[in-house]
Amino acid sequence: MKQLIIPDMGKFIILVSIILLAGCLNTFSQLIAWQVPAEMVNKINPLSIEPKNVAMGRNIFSRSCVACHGAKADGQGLIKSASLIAKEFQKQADGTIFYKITTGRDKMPPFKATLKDDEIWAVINYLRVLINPSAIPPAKNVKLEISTGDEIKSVTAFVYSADSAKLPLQEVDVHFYVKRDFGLMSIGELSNYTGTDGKVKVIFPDNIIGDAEGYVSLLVKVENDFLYNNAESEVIRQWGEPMIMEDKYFNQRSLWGSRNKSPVWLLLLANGIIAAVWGAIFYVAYNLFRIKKAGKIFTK
Amino acid sequence: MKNSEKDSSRRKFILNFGSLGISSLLVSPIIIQSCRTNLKEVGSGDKEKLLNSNNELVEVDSAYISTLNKNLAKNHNSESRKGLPGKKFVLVVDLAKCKNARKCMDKCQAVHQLRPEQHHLNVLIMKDNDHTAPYFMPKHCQHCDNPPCVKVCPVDATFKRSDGIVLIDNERCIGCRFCIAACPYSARSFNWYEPRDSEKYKDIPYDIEKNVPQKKGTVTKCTFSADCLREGKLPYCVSSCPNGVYYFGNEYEDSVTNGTSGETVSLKILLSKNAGYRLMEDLGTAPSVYYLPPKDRALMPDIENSNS
Amino acid sequence: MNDLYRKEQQIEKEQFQEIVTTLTFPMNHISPYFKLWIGFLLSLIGTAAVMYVRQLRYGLGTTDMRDIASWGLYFSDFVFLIAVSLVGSLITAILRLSNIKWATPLTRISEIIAVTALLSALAIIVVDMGRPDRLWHIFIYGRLQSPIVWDIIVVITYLVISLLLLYLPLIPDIALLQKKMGHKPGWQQRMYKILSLGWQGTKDQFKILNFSLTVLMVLIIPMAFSIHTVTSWLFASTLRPGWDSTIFGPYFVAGAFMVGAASVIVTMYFIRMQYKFEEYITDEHFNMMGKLLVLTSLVYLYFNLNEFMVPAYKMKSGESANIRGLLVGDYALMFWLVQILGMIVPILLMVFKLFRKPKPLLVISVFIVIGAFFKRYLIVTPTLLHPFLPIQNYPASYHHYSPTWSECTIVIGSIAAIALLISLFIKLFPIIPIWETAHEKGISNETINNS
Repeated sequence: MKQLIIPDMGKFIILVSIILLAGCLNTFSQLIAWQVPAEMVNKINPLSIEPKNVAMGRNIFSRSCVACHGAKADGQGLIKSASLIAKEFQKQADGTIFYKITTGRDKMPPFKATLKDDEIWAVINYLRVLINPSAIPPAKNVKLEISTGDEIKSVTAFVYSADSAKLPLQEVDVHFYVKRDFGLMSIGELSNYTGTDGKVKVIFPDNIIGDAEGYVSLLVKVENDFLYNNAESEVIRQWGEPMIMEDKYFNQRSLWGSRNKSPVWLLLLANGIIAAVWGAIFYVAYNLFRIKKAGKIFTK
Repeated sequence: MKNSEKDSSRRKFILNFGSLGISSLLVSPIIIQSCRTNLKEVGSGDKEKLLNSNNELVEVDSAYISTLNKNLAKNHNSESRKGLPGKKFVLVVDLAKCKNARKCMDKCQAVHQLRPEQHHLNVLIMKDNDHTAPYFMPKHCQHCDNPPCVKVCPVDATFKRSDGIVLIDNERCIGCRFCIAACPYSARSFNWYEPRDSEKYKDIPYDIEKNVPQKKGTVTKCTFSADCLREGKLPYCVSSCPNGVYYFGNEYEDSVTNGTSGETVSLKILLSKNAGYRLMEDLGTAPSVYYLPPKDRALMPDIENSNS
Repeated sequence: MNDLYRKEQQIEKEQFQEIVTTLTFPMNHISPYFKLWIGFLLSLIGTAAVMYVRQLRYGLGTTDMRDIASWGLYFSDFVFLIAVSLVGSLITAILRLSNIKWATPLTRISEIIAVTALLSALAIIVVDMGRPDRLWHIFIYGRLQSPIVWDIIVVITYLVISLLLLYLPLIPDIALLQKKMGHKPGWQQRMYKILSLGWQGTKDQFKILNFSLTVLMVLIIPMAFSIHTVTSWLFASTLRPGWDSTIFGPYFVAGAFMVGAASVIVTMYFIRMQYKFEEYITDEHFNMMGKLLVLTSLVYLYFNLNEFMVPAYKMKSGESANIRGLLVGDYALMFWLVQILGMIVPILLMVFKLFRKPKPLLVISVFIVIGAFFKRYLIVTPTLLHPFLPIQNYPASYHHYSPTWSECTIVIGSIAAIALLISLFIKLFPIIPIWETAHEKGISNETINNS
């Protein structure tokens, strides 16, 4: 029987091609399609593109997705990721994107546990609007006024149109914050919608610490709303608990204090011992002089 | 008799010479100083127009005007030793979210002129015992309230401020490395060689709060980015994390802000909801860094294939 | 009657002359071997100096110390030298105050070892500093809360007291040398003149001298205890496993007495052999020093048992890694060699009189001294290599410490410096106190003063 003789050159070519193939596969593995089950592809987005849910989608996107996908959703975040405004991405059905967000893959974490279904659909709507801004009508200017109640600490926001008509606006999402050192701490709900009178009230929570006298700075905003342009208003009230700066530990004498804050017992002990011992040393040194003097008296 | 005469003359000579020497030593600085001022008193003749604090236009001889050195250090030594008032800084590390991206380490090493083997911040793979699962743990200087390192420094080079931050003055440090031996968290690093790119940093004035430029033969460690904090910004590591691991804030105000999302929450509630704890609490060092346990961790470390 | 008295005087005078001739023999004869010896020592010190200049240029990175093992051979050498320097107080003060007369010829040997060891210790700790140009910071900015500041204060105080204890008994001998060393170069004669403080040997002068000596001897005992206790606190004040011990003070002091006694034995053997001092440093001296060494070694053995058996019993986390490393791990070979050959076997051998003869005792003492050096190293570095948190994201070399040639030559230079200073001292001053030896032999002050 004839044996299959592969010449050495042939073996070499086979080996190289295997390696090249493996390399190509490795490179393309990133671009290998993310398989989505058929029934998930066909899932329908229950939310139609409306300013309210698009705004919610934008809020959620800025909290959970901007870090990796970038503020413009172009993949240029703190790490490099997929561009969500690219044609290839936008070509996918809503259901496909929904599946990918909930399940996650590699560096993309699964959001099934952290976001509700409605919130994910809202984010998808926001992504659609990003490449098609005409889907949303141009935003109007609004004015924001704050009033506060003092028996029960509460903040009421009144939103009305900025034109001469001064119409109260309803269903406007208002955000309430307390100013903190490095950011804004939200109070009230994530979204607080104005009623028919254009007003919405939020109760100021307990246990918020203010400055040394208890003053807090409250910031109320209309932001990231597609129908309305941003507006904000600020007010300062003495509603916070006064800040207690327990720095008595810092001003006391301690073993870790700086050199002028060493403990009294240490100062007394160390200096006492040094004084006693060096006193004796100086006495002995003085004795050297006495020896010399005693010798002189003798010779004279 | 001859000897004693020689002795006394020798003694007189030493006395005279000695007192002349000492007095000249004492007097010479005064002489030199006075020479200097004399030069200044001779005006150059050129005058310049300046606006004084009473909004009047005056003419001053240009001999009395010296140009301000724009290259002044941002913070003078004594200013950096005082803490920012009304603040006690605290860092919260959410171990559940850490995925060993190491953006924090990269940013920190770049900003603080560190070599790749020097760490102000080290992300460790911890495995507490044989039966518990491993997790990633970023470890900073803990800025302890009972700091073992500050206690042992012989020259007051490392010190604790009223805002809780422990800093190192690298113009004071003598390089004895007692603080490195004393720290149980292995948080300190030493400049065994000339620091990285020391030529590039030659003319930059020394800033204690950033600890840049680094100096050969001194100790360096995490500063909680005190230079950023003075400007109201979050530390470098906190704002460069892509995974939401770090919260940083003010304990007095009971608020911490997440470096990734910007979300600000109450420190007490965050710690109580997530069972926050401190590292090696039983050593009594009272750290300012809190950890949230790695429940439902985002990424399980692969210990067999990790290179540590 | 007068004749008899004069004859007795004559005999005393001759006796004293003999003592003087023998004990000043080293000062009057410089053999070619001595010059070779000095040359050898200078070459070692020169190499060390060159290596130090290199270290100043490149930084402490020329050693193998890194962020994990941040203290290494230099610090071990420092602790070792501080330990050796305690011998001054042991022999001079403790034995003398207890009126133990056989130790008299050894007092100056032990004091010079103490002084030179302290000077070398101060030098090596400056070598270990990252910024020696800022040494003055300790004095201007020193924090009283820091154990290093305590150590500096105590070391300098102890050094001053040791220098005084070296100098004061030397005064009568220098006065004698003034008369006997007329053939020496001018600078040497002037030095003797200045240092002799016009000593005449009067009753008053002796009174002042003896009282000053008593004050110093009483003072130096607590100072000696505190110098090594405070040095031990450089470790015990930290939280690290292996250092976090309450008995570090007495542990170190016991070890110091042991290695100090051994180093005196080594030195006195070579001095006796080289200068033919068999009449003054007798076999009996070796016998007694051997017994002293057994005693101090037993005390040290007791502390060693406490230091290692107790943590090994508990195997507390943190401590367990360090103990395991020492007893059965990376450091086991060095640890057991040091303990067995450097402590246990010497104790067992020295119990027998045969091994307290000069030659065997020399060999045993050499083992003890070398063992003591490596024991100090085992205290300093293994603890640093077993930190609480895992060693990660460092180069592989950070996991262990092997000293570079640069470090070794500098440490050898520090020992050579001690040998050099002692050798030069022997050529300038009598290494065995003349007047005290004469007093022991019953020669009166009159004879000494009038010779």
